[in-house]
Formats: sequence, C-alpha cells, structure tokens
Amino acid sequence: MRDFVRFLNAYKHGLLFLLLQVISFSLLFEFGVFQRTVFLSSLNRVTASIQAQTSSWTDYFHLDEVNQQLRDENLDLLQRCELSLKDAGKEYVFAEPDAFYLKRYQFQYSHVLSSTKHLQNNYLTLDKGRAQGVMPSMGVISEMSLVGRVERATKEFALVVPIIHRGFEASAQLERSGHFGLLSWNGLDYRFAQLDQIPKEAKVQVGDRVVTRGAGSLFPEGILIGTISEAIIDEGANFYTLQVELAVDFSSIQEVMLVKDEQRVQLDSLTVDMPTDE
Amino acid sequence: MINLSMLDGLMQLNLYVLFIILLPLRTPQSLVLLAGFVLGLVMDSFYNSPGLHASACVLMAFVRPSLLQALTPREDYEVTDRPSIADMGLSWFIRYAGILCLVHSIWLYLVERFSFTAFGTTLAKGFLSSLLTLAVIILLEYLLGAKRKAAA
Repeated sequence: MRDFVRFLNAYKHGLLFLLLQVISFSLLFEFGVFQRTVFLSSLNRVTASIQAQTSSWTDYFHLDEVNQQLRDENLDLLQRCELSLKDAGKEYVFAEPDAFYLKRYQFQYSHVLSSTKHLQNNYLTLDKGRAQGVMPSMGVISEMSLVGRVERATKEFALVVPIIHRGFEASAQLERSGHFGLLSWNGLDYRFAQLDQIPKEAKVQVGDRVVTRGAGSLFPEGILIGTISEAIIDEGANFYTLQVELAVDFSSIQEVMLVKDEQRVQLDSLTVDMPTDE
Repeated sequence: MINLSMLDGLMQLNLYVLFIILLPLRTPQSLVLLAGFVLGLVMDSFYNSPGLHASACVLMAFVRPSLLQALTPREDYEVTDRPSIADMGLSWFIRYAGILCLVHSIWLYLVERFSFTAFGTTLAKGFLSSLLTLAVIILLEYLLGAKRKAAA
C-alpha cells in the first residue's frame, strides 16, 4: 500500500495530466450527451451575453453589408412573388400560390451574434430562442440560400449547425435534372461543400445549381445551396465527385431567416416505428 | 467572439495561451495543469468544442516544467525571475514561448481535425498559427511586458 502511495506521489503530475486529458477527450467525444447540459456551450448566459455585447459593437461596422443583403433579399422575394402569380410549371419556385404551401412554412428574421468559419466544426449563435418559438431542427437560410439547421435553443438564444460543420448533412439535388445526393463538408474550405451519391448518368456541368431536396423536412424544397464548381468522375467510378461553391458567404453572415415547418410533426409521425435499415 | 485568422484560416491567433506562458516559474505543476485545463475549457465554451482547447492547454502545461528545466540558464534561474524578455532575454523567451505555442497549436489542430486526411494542411495550420501567436506575444512583451529589474 505504501509503495502504491509512493508511486502515486512520484508520478502525480503525470497522472494528473493523464486524468485531465481523459476528461478533455471524454468531453470531446460525448458532446451529444452535453446537449442537455448547456454549461459548456456558447449558450451559457455569460458567454452569450458577452457575445451579444461584442456583437453590438462590431455590428456597427457591418451595417452597410446588412442593408445591401436585405435589399437583395427583398428583391429576390418580390421577384419570386411575381413568378408565383404566373404558372411556373416545373420550376422550383419557393413560394407557390398554393394555400397548402403558404401555410406550411413560417419565417422569422434573426441576427447572428457570433460565427466562426475556420474551425472543423463551426457554429452560429442567433439572438432568437425558445421564447420566440425557435426549436431544434428548424432550418436556417440567408438571402434565400441554405445556411444550416438549429441544433438547440435556450430561452433567448439558438445554436445553429451550418453547412460548414463536419457533422452537417443534407439531402440535395441538382436543380436541372433532379438527381439527388448527400451534401456534406470536408472541413477544408468554408466556401465549398461536397455532394456525393450523384450517379455518373447525371451529366453534371460546372455551374449547375444545387438546391435542397425537401425530403426529411428539415428545409423546404428548392432552397439554393450553391453551384457546382467541380465535376469529376474518377476512373471506373459510378458516381461523381462534386464540389459545390456555396451560395452563402460564411465570412460575412449577419442576418438569417429561420424556417419553421408547421407540418413537421405530422410528417415525422409517418416514419416513427418503421424499420429503415436492418 | 472576435476571431483572428489570416491566410484563409491557415494562420490563426490563439493569444490566450499567454496565460500559461506567463505563469510564474515557480508555480506548482498541479496548479499549472489545472489552470491550463480551466483556461482551455473557457475557450471551449466560446467555440462549442468541449475538451478541445482544454486538451491542448493541458498538454502545454504538462510540457512546461521539462521545457523550463531544459532551458535553464547557465547560472540557474534566480528566485525572482519571471518568464519574460526583461528577465530572461529574447533568445530564451523565443525558445520557451515558441516551443509552448508550437506544442499547443499542433496538438490543437491535429485533434480538431482528428483524421490524417489533409495532414499537411493541418500541420501547416499548427505551425503557422504558433508563429503568429508567438510574434504577437513577443510584441506584447515588448510593449506591455515586465520591465527590467533595477540593478541589484
């Protein structure tokens, strides 16, 4: 026993080091469990209020950009309204003159308090929370282009997982042909994401628009994600290796829109208890 | 949180490591380790990466005493020495702070990436970021750092 104590004493620093590293890595790996304990997250009152304060200072320098973005977005929306009054046919029109559709999605503006773009897992913090009706899995868009989804919300703030997060995945399709695949991010450049599972028959061209598929009801169908910047088929492969230049500029993201799907609960209940994989 | 990065994220500033670097030479190692852990956790809470910065800072804290020992000046450290350019000289400080920054940065970005794909980029990020951090730390040392002690 005494020898054991002596051992502990001799190596106490090494042991403390190992202990702290084990704790650090447990935190790293179990981030999911931490969802319920907001303690370490940026939503913690202290960090969120610091970010809110810092944001109120730095926001001043972005007013011009925000104005321009709002003007562009308004224009875009007005044009789509115009479009929606005509018979748009098979085009992916966002706001169709359809009572069913119009009732389904609710929108809400929110300000970005903090964001990162150079980490492997980047997050956005928004100034709307549960008190304003924000819930996890709500879609987030900016200037009618995809930003990400709400991961969790406290009473006054929300945390968004953007496209530029290693854990982000979305069902996306080529606007032109309808072929769909999985959109994700490889962590290398915040301007480009990757689209997989598009078969080589799809005849993809650089410049093709990539939009959301709408399946899985995280985002409405037809939201612009980006345009193809690289379309390669490896030797003997059956699928494209595609790079998508993102429509959203994550280096200057200030205002976003939250999308609430009123029919989510109904849709989700369809697939509850149904086996999807075995 | 104000984020400072250049070269498209390849060179990032992690100024908070200053806290560990400037801890008094005689600070008990357990305290340095714990301080590093807490400092890392605080940074993690801003970046939503629980454990990431904590791990890097703890490693940095662990390496510190061995490093201090290896860099012991010829006449040994004096009781009143502080880890500053004023007391220890620029050359010592560059080696001391530089190695601590390098260890911290490389570990941080390796663990953040957690994969060997784009390994070169990850290493480059670690190396360049530690350079930037070291440069700013030295600058701050000169502008605001400890002043030379009065001659004994």
